[in-house]
Amino acid sequence: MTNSEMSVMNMKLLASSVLAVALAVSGCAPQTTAPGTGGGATGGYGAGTGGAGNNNPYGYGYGSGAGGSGSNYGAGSGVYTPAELSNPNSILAQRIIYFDFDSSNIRPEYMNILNAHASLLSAYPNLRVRLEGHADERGSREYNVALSERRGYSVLDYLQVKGVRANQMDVIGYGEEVPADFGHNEAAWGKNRRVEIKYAGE
Amino acid sequence: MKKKLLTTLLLSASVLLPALTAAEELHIRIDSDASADGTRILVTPFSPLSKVIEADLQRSGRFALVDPTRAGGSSSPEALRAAGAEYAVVGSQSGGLDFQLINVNSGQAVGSFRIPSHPNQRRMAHKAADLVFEKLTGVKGAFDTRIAYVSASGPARNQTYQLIVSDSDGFNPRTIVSSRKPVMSPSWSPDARQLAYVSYESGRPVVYVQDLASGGKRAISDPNRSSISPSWSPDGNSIAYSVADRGNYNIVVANASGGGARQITNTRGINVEPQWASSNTLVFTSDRSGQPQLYQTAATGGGENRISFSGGYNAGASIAGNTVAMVQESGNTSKITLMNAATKETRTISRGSQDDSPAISPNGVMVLYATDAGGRGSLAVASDNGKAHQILYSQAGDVRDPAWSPYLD
Repeated sequence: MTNSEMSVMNMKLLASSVLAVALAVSGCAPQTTAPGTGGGATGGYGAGTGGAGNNNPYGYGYGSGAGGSGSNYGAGSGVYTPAELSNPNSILAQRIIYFDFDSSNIRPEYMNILNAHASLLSAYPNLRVRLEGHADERGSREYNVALSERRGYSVLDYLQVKGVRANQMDVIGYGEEVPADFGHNEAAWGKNRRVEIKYAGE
Repeated sequence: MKKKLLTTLLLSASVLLPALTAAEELHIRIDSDASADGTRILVTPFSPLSKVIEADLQRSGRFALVDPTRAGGSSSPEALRAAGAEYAVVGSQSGGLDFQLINVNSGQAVGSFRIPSHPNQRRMAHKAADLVFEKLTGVKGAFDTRIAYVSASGPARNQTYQLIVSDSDGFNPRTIVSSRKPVMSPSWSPDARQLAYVSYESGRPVVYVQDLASGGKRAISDPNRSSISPSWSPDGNSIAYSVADRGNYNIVVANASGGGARQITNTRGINVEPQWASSNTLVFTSDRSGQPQLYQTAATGGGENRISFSGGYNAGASIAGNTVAMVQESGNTSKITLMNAATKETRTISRGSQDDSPAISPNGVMVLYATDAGGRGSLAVASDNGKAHQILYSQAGDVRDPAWSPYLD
């Protein structure tokens, strides 16, 4: 309905900025799973089978040719298994990431969590997640729905770069309608500016 | 005096409305805040409804209510004049209300009115207040109207959301939607018989239209795409709302019966909160300049231009005539500001620090908005001149997201 050239162009810009973030992250997050990354392959984002690029409805196209072999998230070959979703000690038990005021940028300290979920999701294509974006109470209530959805897409873009297929993810913006903390101060607002990762069937 | 008025209001509500108990738990209390200046008017206690008429007039910010005991129970021009009144409402009730508006100085009646008996007694009082208001200000009264708002109760992450409809002063509340998923953004049809609103009941925000009499509802937006902030057109045929496209939102205008959605805006970013400024003009919020600001466009699309310039964050318009109420955010506070669409003059009328969701009365005289009162989500109503201000809050939950109905027939 709205796929103007402009929005496509901006999608590409967005994608490349996410890619840049992902590149930066993998440098500082060595535990970022993905069997094969130890084998010396670098820059294999979304490469894997090449499928991530092909399946991408927005035609970002990164991954094609860039990674080659080595950094695949082959089905079932990840270091995480779905069983670990119910292990409270697993990093996968961490399902919420928080945002700065008026920002949808993913803070570096949450990238390990997202990388773990990306590893699991890309290894198990039948898993589905809903990314639920939330805002704090400041500003217009309806505008906040859109802002919170933007946070959800920020996470979606990141996970997609990490090899998760678009059809595994859905985004819902809840605005300020479902606060995690009822307080009216910065501490509460900080807990409310968030994206929650919800696995289907849980 | 203020407490007394409040108590009287509560008593009369419980006495007069025994049958309407559907949302009794959401009974709203009204704290009044007397406006010291304005036309001095005395409403004699000719009916149990006199206090309701008083409260209405006070809420408009145009009147200074004179305590009727100061006239010693007399309705004589001398006693009314001695009490300090410029105008007085005198009359009688036998079923309907028969009353006169008296110019105290001349002793002449400037208006003589009859309100027929009505099963909702408080509506009779609101109709009487509307007539007095119009006679003295030249502006049609809007007390005999309704409001819709959302109440949320229960623990964090596990709340129950209710969409409630009540009289314009918060009395006579009735729950029309109750859901474990968020409900938001009510918008009245021009005949006040239906509400459009957003519900997350299907998992994502979808626009629904619900008939108030039958309770029947239907989704009018695509169930597969998030759609928010509906606004009913003045002719009742269309509903404008905002549709998501991968984090971007654009305005569409669709048939009120569903279908026929035509895209009006087409920019990357957030375009939400459309409101009809007239039958062919929409005002909406867009972040195309970085921060949210108000823009207007032809309702058929095109001719978009920015209309808010004062302040870095303006959103959530509500419009009556040339008056635009909006949320103006600055630093950590947000206030409700009125803007004259022609002169662009602005005036802040809200008194809280996190004020949101303005809903302007159809005559533009009062603005209902969401505020925080002692940690509780509450509604407030302020007069456009900033003189009258009241808080309406519920014992049962946080209330917010108000919408003011059009004039009733």
